[in-house]
Amino acid sequence: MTASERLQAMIAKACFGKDAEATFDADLAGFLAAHGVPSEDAEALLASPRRLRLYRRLVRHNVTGVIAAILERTRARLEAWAPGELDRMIDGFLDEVGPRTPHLRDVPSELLAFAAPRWRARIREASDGSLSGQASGAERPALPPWIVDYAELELLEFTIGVAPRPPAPPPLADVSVERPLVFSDPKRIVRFDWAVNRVPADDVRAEPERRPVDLLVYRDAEHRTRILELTPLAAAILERLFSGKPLGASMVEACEAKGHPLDDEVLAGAARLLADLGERGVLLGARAD
Amino acid sequence: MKQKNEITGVGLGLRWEFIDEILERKPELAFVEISPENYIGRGGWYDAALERAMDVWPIVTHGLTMSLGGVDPLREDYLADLRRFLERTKSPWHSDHLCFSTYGGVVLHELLPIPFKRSEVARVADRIKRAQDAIGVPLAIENVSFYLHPGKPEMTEAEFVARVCEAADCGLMLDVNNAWVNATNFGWDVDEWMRTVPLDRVVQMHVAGHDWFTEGDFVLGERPADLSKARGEMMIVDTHGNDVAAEVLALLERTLEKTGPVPVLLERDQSIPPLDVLLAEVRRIEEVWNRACARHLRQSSGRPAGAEEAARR
Repeated sequence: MTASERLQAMIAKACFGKDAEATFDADLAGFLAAHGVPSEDAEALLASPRRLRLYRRLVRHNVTGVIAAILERTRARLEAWAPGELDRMIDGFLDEVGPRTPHLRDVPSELLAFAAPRWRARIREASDGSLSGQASGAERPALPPWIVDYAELELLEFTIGVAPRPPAPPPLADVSVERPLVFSDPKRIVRFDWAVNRVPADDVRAEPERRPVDLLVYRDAEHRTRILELTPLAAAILERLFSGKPLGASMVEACEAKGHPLDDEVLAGAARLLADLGERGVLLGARAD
Repeated sequence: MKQKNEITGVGLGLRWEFIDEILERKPELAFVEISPENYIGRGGWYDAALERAMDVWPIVTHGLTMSLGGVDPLREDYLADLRRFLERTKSPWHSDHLCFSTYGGVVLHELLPIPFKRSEVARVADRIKRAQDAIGVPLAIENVSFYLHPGKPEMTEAEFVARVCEAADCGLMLDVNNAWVNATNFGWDVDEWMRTVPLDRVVQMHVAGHDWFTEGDFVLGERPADLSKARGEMMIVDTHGNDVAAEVLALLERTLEKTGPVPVLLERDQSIPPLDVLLAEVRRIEEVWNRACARHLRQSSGRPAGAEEAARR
C-alpha cells in the first residue's frame, strides 16, 4: 500500500468502522499505527486529535439523513416498534458493506438490500419460536413481522417516482386480443404477504392485515407514484402483458396458472381493468407492428 | 487554461426545497448551479424540473463524487453518465472538489481531505487530466473546507492548489467561504492565501454561510466575539446553513477586484430560508459583485472613476 492508500483507508475506517470511534478516542496514536500511518503523518493528525470524530459525524450524518428522508415512514415505525433498530442496522451496513453508489439517493436501496434478509431471518426465527417473540435482549428488539414488506413498498414508491424517463412508445394501434399491449413506464407489479398498502401513513402503531396483496406501482402523468391493488388473476394477466405477450395469450395463460376458467366474468373483469388502466394513463394501446 | 466565461454575474444553487417556487416565479438570476448526482439516471418530477430550469436560466454543474484525490480508479461509468449529462445541460464547465470521497469501492459521500505533499500533486493532477478528457468540457477543481491535515504538509494549502492547477492545466472553482473557514480554523492569513492561488484560472466562485461549533463535542454555538481567541475552543464547520458572513463577502469583494467579472454562486444547503430571503442575499452579493468589478475595470483600464460605461462600450 502507498502512503496515500494507508491514509485514505484509515479515514474510511474511522468514518464507517463500527467501533472505530471508541478505538481512536481511546488511543488515536495506536489507531493510526494500526493502520500503518507513517509517524510523520501521524504527527500531523495528532495535532487535531478530535477532528477525526468530526469527519465520522459528517459522513454518517449525510448517509443517515438520506435514509431517514427516503424511508421516513419505515424509520418512524421502527422507532415505535423496535427503537434503535434502524441505527444499529445502518451501523452494520456501513461497517460491513458501505455505500457503493455515487448517488446519495440510492443509498437507502443499498441499505435495504443489506437489511431485508437480516430482518426476514430474525422475523422467521421469532415466529419459529427460536427467539422470544418479545425482545431477546437490549440489542435485539422484536421486529414487527410486516416491516420488510412495509419498507420495500416505501422504497418502491420512491424508486418508481424517480426512475429514468422511458423511451418514446412504439407506434400504437387499437387494442385487440392478438396484439401485445403497450404500457407507460415506470411501473412494477409486486406481491407482499401483508396489506402494507392499506396502513395509514400517520399512524405508526397501525398494523397491516395479514393477507397477500398484489400491487401495481406506477408513475402518473404528474410524476406521482400511484398504487393499485390487483386481484391475483389481474396481476397474473398484467405480468404476462408486461412481458410482451399478446392480450389473448396472456389471459389464457394467466387463467391456467391460477386454475380459473376463462369465462364471461373474467372477460368482463379484464375489460374493466384495461379501461381503468387506460384512464390512469398506464395502458397506451396495442403495438401496431 | 483560461476560460472564456459567457456566464457571469451572481447565481444560486438550485435546491429541492424551493425548486417549485423558483420555477414558478422565475426570478432574474445570472445562472443556476446543479449537482449532476441529483439528476443523472433520474426521471419523473426531478427530470421535468431540470427541463424547466434549463428553459429559464443558464446551467452550470458542480459535482460531488468524482473523488479526484482518491486512490480508487476513477469511475468510468460515472464519467460517461456525466459526459452525457453535461452535453444535455450545456454546462460550459464542470467543477468538482480537490478531495477524496471513495475508498475501496465504498463511497463516503463527504469531501475528505488529502495531504499537501509533492507526490500528491502529480498523482492528483493526472487524475484531473483524465477526468477532464472523459467529460468533454473544461474541469475546475474546488478548494474544500478541511478540519485536519491527513498527513504531514509539505506546502501550504494555497501552494498545493496552485501546483495541482498548474500540473493539471485545469480551472479553479474558488470557494471563498472555504478559504476563509480554513484560514480562521488554522490561523493563517487569508489574503496571503489568495495571493498564492492562481486567480487567473478561476472560472467561478462559491460563497456560502457557515456555523460555529464547540471543539471536541461539536455542539452548535455562537460566533465568538474575538475570533483570534476562538481557536482551541470553537471551530467553524462549512455547513452552508447560514447567511454569508461579512468577512467572506469582504474577501469576495477583494478577490473580485483582482479577477474581474467571474461568476459567483450562492450555496445554501441547510436551514434554507424562504426564497425571498435567499434572493435578497443574492442581491446583496450582486452589489458586492458590481462594486468590485467596476473597481477592477477602473484598475485594469487605468481610467478615472465614471469611465466604466465608456470602457465597456
